Amino acid sequence: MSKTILQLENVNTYYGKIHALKDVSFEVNEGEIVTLIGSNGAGKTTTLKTISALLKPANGNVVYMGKKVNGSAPHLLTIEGIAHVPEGRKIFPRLTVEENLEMGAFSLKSQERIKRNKDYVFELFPRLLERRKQKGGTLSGGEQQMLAMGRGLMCDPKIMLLDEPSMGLAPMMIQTVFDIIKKLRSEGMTILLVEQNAGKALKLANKGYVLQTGSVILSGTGAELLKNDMVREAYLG
Amino acid sequence: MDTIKNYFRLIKEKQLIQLVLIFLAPILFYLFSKSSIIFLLFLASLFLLYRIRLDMKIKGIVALLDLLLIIPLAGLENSYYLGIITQIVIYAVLAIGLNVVIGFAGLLDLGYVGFYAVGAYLYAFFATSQANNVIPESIYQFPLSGNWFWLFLPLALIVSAGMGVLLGLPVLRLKGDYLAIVTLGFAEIIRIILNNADKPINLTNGPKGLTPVKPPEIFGIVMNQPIHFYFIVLVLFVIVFISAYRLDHSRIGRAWAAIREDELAARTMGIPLVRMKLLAFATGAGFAGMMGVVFAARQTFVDPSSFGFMESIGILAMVIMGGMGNIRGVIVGAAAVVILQLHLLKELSTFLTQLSVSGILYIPSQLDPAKYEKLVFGLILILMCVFRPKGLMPAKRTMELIKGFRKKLTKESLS
Repeated sequence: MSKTILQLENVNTYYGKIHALKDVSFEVNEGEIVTLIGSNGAGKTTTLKTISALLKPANGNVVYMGKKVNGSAPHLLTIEGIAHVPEGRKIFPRLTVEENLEMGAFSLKSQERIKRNKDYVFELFPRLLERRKQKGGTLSGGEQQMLAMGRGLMCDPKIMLLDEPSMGLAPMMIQTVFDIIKKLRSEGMTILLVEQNAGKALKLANKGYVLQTGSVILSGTGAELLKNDMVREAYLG
Repeated sequence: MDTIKNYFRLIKEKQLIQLVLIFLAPILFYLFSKSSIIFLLFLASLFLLYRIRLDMKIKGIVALLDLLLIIPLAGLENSYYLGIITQIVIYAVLAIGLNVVIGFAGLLDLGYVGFYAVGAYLYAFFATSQANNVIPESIYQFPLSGNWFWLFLPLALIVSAGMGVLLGLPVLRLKGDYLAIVTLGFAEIIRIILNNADKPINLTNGPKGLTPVKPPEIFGIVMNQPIHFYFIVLVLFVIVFISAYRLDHSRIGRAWAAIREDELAARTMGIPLVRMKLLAFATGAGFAGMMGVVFAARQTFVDPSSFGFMESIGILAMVIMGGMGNIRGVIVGAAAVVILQLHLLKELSTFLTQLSVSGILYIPSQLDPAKYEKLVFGLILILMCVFRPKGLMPAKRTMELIKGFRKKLTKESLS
């Protein structure tokens, strides 16, 4: 039994008056890929933003490594090892690939560790090494996604929150991205994956949670959810 | 000797002209310190000196000679041009400060001049007898002596930076246009308070302003000559330039760049957003406050009308014209705007007036050149926006510090 690294307990988050997350609870164990699936507006991105403290939950607890972290600040959580790779990649288009990566290591002070992490990212994404001096904005969509994930890896994370990494990518690129996610798990990374591409995500995931209008309506192992009639009908077509 | 010969062989004709200008213009300026064309030529040579490819040592020596010898010597002959150069340096410092806020952190601040006013009034209040309206004469008889000027430089920096943080705390939740409007309002609030704080207790003497402000003093020498102020602002300029440069190339500078590019991404990178924005605001405000002290001491007179909205816009124009985010560009912008405003347009006005006086060209009094200075200035700005929207010297996106780091890395990872 591996230990729980991240746990949400009855988390409620509001956008103004809109109740976006309703009593969301789930847990992520070390070394697992956990996926959140659901349609548009189900609250997947909101969940990730709540975890990384970009949004403050109204009540409920976000527990990370046994510590209650709701109400903390995003920059403190980055130091603690939560890397959030935001939806739509959000790379810095006018900085070079390498500068983008260095931004990811903002919370690190040791130059040695930055260099080590950078070498690791370049090893993982040889394409980025080829394009290290190119401006972020000139990369293809898939390369930008690689850059965003690489940038997330730069801060020595214990858990990565990946928000729609396959969004808007060519099918071949989607496969590459999923391969990389799998590889990261094999190297011990814990990943919380938000995906619209439910079939691929569930095949990969140890555990999945289905969100609908802000609530968790279903949970189970990846394989269980893949077999579930409701999931098949609603998300797998 | 061979290297020198080789060097000269490599120089093309165009560069030769530039070289001649760089060495000749200062000498001409020293000899004919009253000629307007030679003055402009001299300033152009300073700019060229920066652009030209030349041994750094030679460049440095020529620059030092120009700044420390030629300008003061020519200035003793003709204090008018020395005044313009001093003005350029003052505005260069202000523009560097505003550039930290706008160019580095990407926060549109239209109330910059408010902090300039804070610094100016802080010194003027204690360096005139005004302070006796609050502190009884029996305790201390104001004005303070000019020796205090030196203490007020850092003091104004701290007070203005503090004001920057106070204003920033509530305001920095806003972005873009909204931030611009609130900061604009802030500067107006400061100006109007200065205008009206003459009752019930007379703090600022209202629209009449405070005078005479004590000039700075050091080792018993009263520094009230243009040449003194030239050296004071030059020293402050060097300090501000180096600090801004170091900030830009530090971790903080990187954080600012990230915030400017994409706030959400910057936050997910672990950059403390509010703290970094406040720091940018405070830095800019501090530089402005410090220059305010110099302004008060130099003019020996401060009044609220010196800190109007147009002043903020003027400094903003320097930053935009020079190239947002580029410290050197902003300095060029400051020089260009000051020369336009104080020198070229005035010269044009007097030239046209002379024409109409001598009857060559009739200009009706409605079209008196002195009246359309601002129009010409506006036209130039519009042309700038059309043809050089990123400024005279756009900022390079690459960061030198990282470049150096990268060079090291490339070597290691390739070997």
